[in-house]
Amino acid sequence: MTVARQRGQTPVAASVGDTPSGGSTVLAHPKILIEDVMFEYPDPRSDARLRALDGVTIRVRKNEFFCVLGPSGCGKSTLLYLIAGLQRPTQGRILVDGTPVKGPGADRGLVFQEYALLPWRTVRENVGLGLKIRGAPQAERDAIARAFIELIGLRGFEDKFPHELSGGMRQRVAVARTLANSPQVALMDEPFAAVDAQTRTTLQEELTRIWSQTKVTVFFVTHNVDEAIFLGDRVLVMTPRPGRVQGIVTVNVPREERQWATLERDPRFVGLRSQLNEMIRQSAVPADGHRDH
Amino acid sequence: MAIAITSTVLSRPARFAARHPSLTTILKNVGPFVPLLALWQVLVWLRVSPPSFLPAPASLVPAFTSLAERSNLFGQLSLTVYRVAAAAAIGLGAGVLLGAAVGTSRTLYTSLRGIIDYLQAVGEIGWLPLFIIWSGFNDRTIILTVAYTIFFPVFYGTVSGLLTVPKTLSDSVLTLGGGRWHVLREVLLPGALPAIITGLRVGMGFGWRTVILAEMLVAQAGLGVLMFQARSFFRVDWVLVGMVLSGMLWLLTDRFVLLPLEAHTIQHWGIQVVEA
Repeated sequence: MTVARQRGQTPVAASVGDTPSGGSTVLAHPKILIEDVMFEYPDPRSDARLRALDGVTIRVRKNEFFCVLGPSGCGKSTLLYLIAGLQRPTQGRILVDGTPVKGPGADRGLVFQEYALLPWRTVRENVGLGLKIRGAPQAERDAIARAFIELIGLRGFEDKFPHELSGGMRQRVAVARTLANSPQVALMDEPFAAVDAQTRTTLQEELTRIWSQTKVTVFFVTHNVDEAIFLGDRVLVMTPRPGRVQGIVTVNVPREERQWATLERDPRFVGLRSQLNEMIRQSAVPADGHRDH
Repeated sequence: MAIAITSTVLSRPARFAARHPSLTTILKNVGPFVPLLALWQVLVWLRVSPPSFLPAPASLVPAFTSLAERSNLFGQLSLTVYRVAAAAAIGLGAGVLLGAAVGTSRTLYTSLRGIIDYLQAVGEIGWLPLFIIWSGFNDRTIILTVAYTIFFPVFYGTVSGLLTVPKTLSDSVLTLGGGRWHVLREVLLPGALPAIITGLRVGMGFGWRTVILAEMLVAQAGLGVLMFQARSFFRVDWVLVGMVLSGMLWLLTDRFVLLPLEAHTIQHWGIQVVEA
């Protein structure tokens, strides 16, 4: 199945520097450009302001599967909310296709950690929700929803409500709902964190398959090292709060060789895993000895 | 197979309940009335007061027939039901509209909550003299009074329903390209619906009592008028028939209209609205 993608935005000539970001890649026209972003929010328990992100610069290529790895509370979810336009950076800017993000929009879909399916809508209606919002006729909506429900292997569950599904099935529906809306960028917030280990590996394989068919740019946040290697073209490691870029690693295992059955014994996979774990360990050590938090 | 197992495990009443679900529901609802009637009958036998003050339960049957013969009983009841229904429509509409405004706007929430709490404390009976002066002794006054009663539980249900809808649901609609209107239509109103319907149930329960009182004070016809006139004839049995009818009508409305409506929405909403 192929998903038609016609929403072409003309990139505004943006002042994108050619400085390498963390890794070694030079990207003149990134799909997503996060430039020197800082984010602070008021502490609900005091007058102080808490800094979740600091000096974050990231360039994500078109059609890339980009993974962000970091401990809980390092601001990686905040980063997604900023790209989605649900929150504004305190400093710095975010551009998608060269256009500054001003607010939420259909070009940047978000898959929430806790699914966020509408409990009063069936699987079919949830998957077709984005198309409904954008005024697509019923027949088109149903056809696209059917194709995506097929793609996630939930045929026969079209008329079920979310509470009648397992956690893994709900997350599949949530992914389908985002992708059925044919976004330019799919943002994913630890979508498989709440499902059991077996379901998670299945979902990861399915997501790779669906991504290869839709070729959407994916910005995937996780705290699971193996998951990041399995899914990502590149993996970014974030420091604990305030979140900074610790480094970026390119996954040198070809897609066709990424199967859980063999991958865990692959020396390249083992090497990447220890490299990333080492980066996470280093990031946890305060650089200057007296970092606040 | 499964049936064979359950029937050996279940107790005798449980087996009966499994075989006759609707009959069991009726028994469960009607059953508790039996000791109440028995107590009443015992009080009559003990002659705690003369029969003209406290007639026997069985005497309500002839009282009902005589009342039905003398008055247009069905017409009176319909009039009362119509007043409550009209008031419910107004109270529901106003409660949801104002509740939606207050529940979605922080400014309106902080500025209007106080005055609405205040108006609820004043109460519909406090307004009744003014409504009579402004509108007269007519249907409009009664409907307005009952609508006032129904408004508040609907309003509070709407506000609390809106405030408990998870924010991620609204965010998900925004990231699918929706605007404020889509958030309201697709997330906030359906999310608040169970609380709105519960508010309507509570409100109509209060409204049903208010309509009897308002009719006694304002109307020329209706169930409340019937009961009040029975008092002037010193027909305690007719007053009691009115009380029984009023209670039964409310129970029927609640069990056959409002409760199924509530159950239907909650069933579609799942056991819990907030997904874990």
